Amino acid sequence: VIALYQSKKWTFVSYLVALVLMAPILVMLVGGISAQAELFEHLWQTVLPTYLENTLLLALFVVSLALFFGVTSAALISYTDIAFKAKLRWLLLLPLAMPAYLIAYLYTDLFDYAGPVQRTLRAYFSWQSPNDYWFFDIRSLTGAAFMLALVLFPYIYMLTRGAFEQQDQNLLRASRLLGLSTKQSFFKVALPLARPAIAIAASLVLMETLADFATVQYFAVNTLTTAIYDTWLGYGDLAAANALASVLMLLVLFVVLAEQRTRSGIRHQSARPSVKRELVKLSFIGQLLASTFCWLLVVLGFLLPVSLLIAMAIDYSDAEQLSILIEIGFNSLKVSVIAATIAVVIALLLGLYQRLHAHKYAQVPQRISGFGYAVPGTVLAMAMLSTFGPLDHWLNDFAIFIGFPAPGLVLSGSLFAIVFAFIVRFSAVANGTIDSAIKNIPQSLDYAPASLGMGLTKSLTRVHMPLLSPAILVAWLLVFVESMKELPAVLLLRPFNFETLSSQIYQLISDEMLEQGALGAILIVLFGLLPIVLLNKHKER
Amino acid sequence: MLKDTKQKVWADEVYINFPNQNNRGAHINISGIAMAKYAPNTKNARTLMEFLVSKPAQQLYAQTNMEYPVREGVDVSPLVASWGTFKADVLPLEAIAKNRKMALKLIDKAQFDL
Repeated sequence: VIALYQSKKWTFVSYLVALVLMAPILVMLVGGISAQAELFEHLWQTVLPTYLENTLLLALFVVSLALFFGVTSAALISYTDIAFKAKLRWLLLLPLAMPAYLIAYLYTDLFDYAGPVQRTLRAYFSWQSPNDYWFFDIRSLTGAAFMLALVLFPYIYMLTRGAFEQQDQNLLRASRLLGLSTKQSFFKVALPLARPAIAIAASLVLMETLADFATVQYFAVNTLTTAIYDTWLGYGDLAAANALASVLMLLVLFVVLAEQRTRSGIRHQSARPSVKRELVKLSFIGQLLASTFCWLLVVLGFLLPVSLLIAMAIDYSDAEQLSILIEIGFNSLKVSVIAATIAVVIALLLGLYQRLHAHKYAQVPQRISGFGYAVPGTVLAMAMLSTFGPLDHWLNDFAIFIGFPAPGLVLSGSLFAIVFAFIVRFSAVANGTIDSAIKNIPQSLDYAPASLGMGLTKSLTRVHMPLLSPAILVAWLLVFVESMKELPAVLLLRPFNFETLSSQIYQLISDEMLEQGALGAILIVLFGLLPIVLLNKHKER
Repeated sequence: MLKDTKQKVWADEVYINFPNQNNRGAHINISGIAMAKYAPNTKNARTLMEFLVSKPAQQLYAQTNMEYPVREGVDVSPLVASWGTFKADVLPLEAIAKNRKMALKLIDKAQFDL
């Protein structure tokens, strides 16, 4: 590969963008580690060990449950003749569109002491009080783990199914010829071969779990994310909140490193899906059990909660709700459109930089900017506050010094901080989509325009951009949808009187009045469906 | 909630209980307003503040928002009045605010939230 261009300016801008994106996190880490946080010591001596324990237990439970749900369903879809396979194949992806805090609320309504399930049971068996019977408590650590696993398992299902379907069937046949039963060959060959994919999916689930705020907050399960939130808003102590965020950050860093290690092993997979897969014929009982398992996941993770939301919307929506929805929907649109547009521009800048400057370090800026995806929204919010807060003060002092009126909190108290946080968090999504599209452009198309005497700008606008436009659209939509859904960063960074769809739904959930926001909740789920449909189409092609 | 036939049944089940009645009285949370020292539009701010404590505005607080008005001579809404009177805690909010951090620490120490 010959590098076509050696633009110093481009190099400089690429590194600058990547560093600016990551700078707030560095500022927070430095602030968190060096601060003399007297409060941190107090927290460490009182509640922090429990928060840490809750965080780790939750992560363990969610990952185990999601692995059980995801790997089992993937195996059933890929290697058995389960009924309605074509339907289940994509239905099992749908729970991904459901925010965990929404099903947490809906299932609490359903299964709580005052909910219809327990009421019916009490009426039927004429129990009088909670002492007369045992019923699981949904508002607990285990309950939260179930909620999170129900909406996160599709990550594992999707990647594991992909791995199963790409597997070299000759290996499985060889193992059968060597005398293994179908069951043995699945557990000894197919499953170990899928291990790298499963590990990557599990680390995604782990990151999402560590980032969750609203579900655990609603269930009053205190974890590191809720502790950061409480320390900042309750104590108003930036240093201690930073220290907590740094602890969470280190946990996440550990997961990222572990994930990258497993990625390096993925090359052992040889993709030769040409030979037809041998399907296990399920007995009647087996068919029944397998179908129940998969359909339960679809129903509990998506169909039931969506039906409950629609019923709520039919019962309670009115003109007033609609007008509020339009107003805050517009707010959400505004921040998400800006964030998506900038993230795509950055992804193009860094992606094309890497492509056209084909040297060893050309991928460094993209790698750096992609790291933000692992950072939980609460941590990002603290990073924004600890960077832009002082910067704002400095700006104001400077303005007054040179005789201008003080501009106020233009960075930390405006939409700037929210948009910045979104871009840091979701740049990786845009990077991934655009980067794989760039890699699909044959290298000769870089050289041909140049050999015909076309300049760089012309070659980019007339050759690369048109080829990349579908990927640009997909990347834009993915960042847009993620931004519409993001909650904790908005909660901590939004200016006064500024609500987005997700923050308003969270507010209504905290006030136990979700029915007032059912329409907005349905809207968020619909937006969440968008990337699933897109990615599904993308993959089938 | 009261206008919704389904939810009214739930609302009717609620039993209003004022806490601490044999002791120092129930704590009252207030909606306050203050002007920032360097506020740019002091005149308008003052007009707004004066309006908010005026009789018509306080009546809105009482009738629409179901709050206890801060102004003497403004009646509480009939619904709130039907809950009866209660003994209020007279500890000033300044004292409460001053001890806020200590209280939070005590909550942590007692592991109240766990």
